[in-house]
Amino acid sequence: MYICLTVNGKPVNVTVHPGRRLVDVLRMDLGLTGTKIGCEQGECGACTVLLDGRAVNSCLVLMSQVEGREVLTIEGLTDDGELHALQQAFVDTGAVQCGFCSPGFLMSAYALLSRNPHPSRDEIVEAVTGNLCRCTGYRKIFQAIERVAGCVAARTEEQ
Amino acid sequence: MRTLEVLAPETLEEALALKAHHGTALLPLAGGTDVIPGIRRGAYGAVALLDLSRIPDLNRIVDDGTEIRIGALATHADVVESAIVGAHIPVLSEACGTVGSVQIRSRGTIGGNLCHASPASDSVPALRVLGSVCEIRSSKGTREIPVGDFCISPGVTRVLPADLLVGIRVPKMRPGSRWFYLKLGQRRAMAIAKVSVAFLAAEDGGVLSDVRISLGAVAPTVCGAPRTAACLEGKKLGETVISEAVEMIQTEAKPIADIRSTEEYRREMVGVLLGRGLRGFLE
Repeated sequence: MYICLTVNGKPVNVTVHPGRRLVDVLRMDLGLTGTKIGCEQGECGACTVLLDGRAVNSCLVLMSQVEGREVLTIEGLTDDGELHALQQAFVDTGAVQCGFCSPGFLMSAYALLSRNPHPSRDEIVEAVTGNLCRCTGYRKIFQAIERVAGCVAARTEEQ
Repeated sequence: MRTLEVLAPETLEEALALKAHHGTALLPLAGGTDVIPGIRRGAYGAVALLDLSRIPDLNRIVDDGTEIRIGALATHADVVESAIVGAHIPVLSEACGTVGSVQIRSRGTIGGNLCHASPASDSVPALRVLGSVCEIRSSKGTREIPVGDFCISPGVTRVLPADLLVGIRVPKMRPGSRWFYLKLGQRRAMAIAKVSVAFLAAEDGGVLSDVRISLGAVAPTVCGAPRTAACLEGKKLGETVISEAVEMIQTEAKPIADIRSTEEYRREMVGVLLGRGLRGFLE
């Protein structure tokens, strides 16, 4: 099936089997391997991308469902090699350990901040409940997102 | 993962014609949050998918005067963020907001949730107390089934091989209604309910009437608790009335035991949730 979509701001036309998963086409056909494959059943969030501005598990989306839609992956966050403020905050805060979950967390955080630029700690926690991290214990991740969201009060409380 | 054939009609008429021709060999695909993991598990036989995502307006939420009409492909996120739902049927917003994670709510649909017919569904107990009606279409016409009669057993509904669930009509709640949706899971996020209770009643001067209670995850389908509801009918809420209702629902509910919980725990907790919700009205 011929599918036209937008990936990271650029029009992409692909001829693919409509039953293939978005995550597989992103990684294998388009070479965008920043999006990770974890549990493959919508539990871990490692494959999170934005679909028309909403965070979704790309392992639970079939190509047939993305005709005419807009996809943003972790590769689309960097601007000309320059890290996005969220990515830089993850580095600076130590929110990255093994790094496998990081792209998914970053996309969930990006989706949150695009809708709600100044979220509370509770809203941040809620926004990443669909992302699992087995290294950091989550606190550094919350702090990194807060650093970008400018939640000074919450940060002080954390320290 | 097995790659299934996909048919992606552009109109509802086309989809209904395909369904009339292929019947159960064509599995409707809405959000895919249950169907796609099912494909991976090998849960379906020789089926092709009927992708409904290209059919226009199947996800619309419309205020029809006395009712809200929700298209079957409206996602949980659409429902939670809808000002119409929030204003007129807030118990449904509350229930849909407890589904899975942000990612699951972005994709999972209200129609898919109904057709999956899980006893642990979050939307169904709320739709049931609201007295909602399912709109089912086939190439031969439209029929309606109350949400309370829609699910027969886990995964089995009254949708026939040539049918598609296209929408749900939900009567508006009366102003001043008392309601809650409370859910108990393993953890707060991404948890499938061990027990859930949806409650809706009219209230006048503290006296309850038209009391409706639905229970999730305690029986093979979402079920009601008519004896407990009757016991609260016409009563003024107070500690004695609440204790009686808690005791009664623990006798009335006939919980199942499964991987998520035991019969004893569910029986106890169904009372705890009802008591917690009712006491919330006294504050």
